[in-house]
Amino acid sequence: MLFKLKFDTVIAILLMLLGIVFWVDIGTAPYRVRYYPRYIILIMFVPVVILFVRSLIPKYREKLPDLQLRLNRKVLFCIVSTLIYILLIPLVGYYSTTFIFITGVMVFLGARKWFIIVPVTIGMIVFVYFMFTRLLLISLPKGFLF
Amino acid sequence: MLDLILQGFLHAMQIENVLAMVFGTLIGILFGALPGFTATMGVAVFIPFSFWMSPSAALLLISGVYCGAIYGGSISAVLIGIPGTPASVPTTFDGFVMTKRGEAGKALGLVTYASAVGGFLSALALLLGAPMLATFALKFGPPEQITLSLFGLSVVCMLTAENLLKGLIVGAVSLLLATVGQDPMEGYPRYTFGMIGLIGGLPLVPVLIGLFSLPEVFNILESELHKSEIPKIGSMRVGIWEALHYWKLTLKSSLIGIFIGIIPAAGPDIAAFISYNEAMRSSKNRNLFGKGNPEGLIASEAANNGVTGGSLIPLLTLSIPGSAPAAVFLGALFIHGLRPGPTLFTKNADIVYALLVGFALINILMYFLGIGFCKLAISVVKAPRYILVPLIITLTVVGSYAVQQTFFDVGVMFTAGLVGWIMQKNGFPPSPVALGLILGPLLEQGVDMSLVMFNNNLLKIFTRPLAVLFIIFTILSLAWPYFAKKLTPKMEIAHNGEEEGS
Repeated sequence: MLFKLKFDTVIAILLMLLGIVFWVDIGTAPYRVRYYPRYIILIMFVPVVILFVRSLIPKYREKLPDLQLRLNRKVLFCIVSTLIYILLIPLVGYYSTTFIFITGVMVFLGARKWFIIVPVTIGMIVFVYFMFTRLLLISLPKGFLF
Repeated sequence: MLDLILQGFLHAMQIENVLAMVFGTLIGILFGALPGFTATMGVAVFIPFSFWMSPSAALLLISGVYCGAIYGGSISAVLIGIPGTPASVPTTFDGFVMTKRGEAGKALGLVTYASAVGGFLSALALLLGAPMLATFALKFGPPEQITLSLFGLSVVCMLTAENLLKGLIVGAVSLLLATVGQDPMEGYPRYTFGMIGLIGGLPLVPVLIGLFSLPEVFNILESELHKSEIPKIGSMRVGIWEALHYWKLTLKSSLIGIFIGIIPAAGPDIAAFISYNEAMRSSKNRNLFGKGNPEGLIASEAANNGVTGGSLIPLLTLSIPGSAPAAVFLGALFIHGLRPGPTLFTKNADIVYALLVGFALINILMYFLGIGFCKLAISVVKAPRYILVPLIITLTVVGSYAVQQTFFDVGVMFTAGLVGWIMQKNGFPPSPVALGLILGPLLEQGVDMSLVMFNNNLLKIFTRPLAVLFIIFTILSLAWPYFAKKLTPKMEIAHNGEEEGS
């Protein structure tokens, strides 16, 4: 029970590590470049250390949420599918990946009627095409498909 | 002067100019409402379109895009909790809560009203007081930049009063993250860890998109909504009595916006935060801020639209842009052969007064076009989540890609989204991130330049009256929550005593 990790403890340790990495990384830079970030790191350490100490004091510790690694099934699907979507866009192409992504997520979340799925997907793709590619001349990745 | 204004009005009312205003405002609203598109991008994109137009029509088109985009950012902020532009971040705090509560219509009505009034008042300031107000911009140097940034950062204390320690941590970490990329004086790359995408710094817009959009998407997925629980929309009408009820707040927030707009390098995002903070400090309903308080919406929107006209004051009179979109606007002026400065008002009076009067007309027009646009956009709230979720994610991906056309930014957006969600789940407020990333570079630049200016003696800041004024504001802002806590019970006792007595 005593060693059950609290989120605040973990985040305070991570932030202290971040501060140390940033402090060391800027070490070789000229003084004019490094003084400002180093002052910010020192300022940052004050509340972070308070958070860390507070997360160890039993009186406060009891009220803090435990570190949880469990995720809602739908959220997990959404995170993973978005990550795959982002990674596939440059390889496969923006429009084809977006078509598969929107259709897939809609079906997973409970859409069953094709006359809703198809117009929404195509409508979004047409909107993005006109707004971004035609009007703003932003070239979206073509990949090996389109 | 009156005859010049009348001439300007007649010039602005020519059919080509009216069409330019309508088209510009509409497209600006659409741009602003899309996550990832800032007013600066909107103005920049439409400058080439204005080549073939007459100078007055071109400037009115760009003004329409500018005003429309600043306002449009509030629509997505209210409806889906994603700020369309960084200036609408404070609008999400109360706007989205109102939408969840079934008051999306009222929230949209209020932001449209506040935006139009803020923009209109700034246009009046531009029209009537430009040369006089412009001298203020000249008094604003690096020391004032430092104290303004500190004043802006003090907003963190107000915004996160319920969880101050975590708010301060998020603010400090964000200030540190704002130092990523080339330093402002020597261009030395810091904390890039070999990533080319970080040389220009952590991209602000993708971070904000991720931070405010993905956690909302995950929240939608986690909540098991039933059909009957789909929030109502409510009326969008803002009655005269309601408008009069908020007139003081609207006026004060608009003036804050105009004031911040005049200051070089401070834009609508900073104005919105400072105004939100001031509204919160002075409100009797302080505890309701962030919980769907209409005052929060009005403060943020009147101020960010107040910047539009304010930022053009130093631009037209001194060639100093008061915000990033105003800097792009400067390019449009040069392209059409107009040289900003005192002579602009005499040499090109016909074009300039058409622009100034047109700016006021655009803000009136924006109210009606905005209400029409909101009536279409509001259907988003009714959309089932199996439609909403993939469309929001698609928009956030393409929006963050569009900023610099690099997938690195999409990765940053996704990471910011996940971090934002974890933060939200564990009581770390996301709003200080926006403040830290917006104000951090301004603060560092101010410190660097002041050190050079004052021979490494920063204490000389206290010799500058305007800087001292901002320091006093900062101290008041920091100390106010404690004073307020001490004063409230006494005031309540006194108030109750009076009621019992009567």
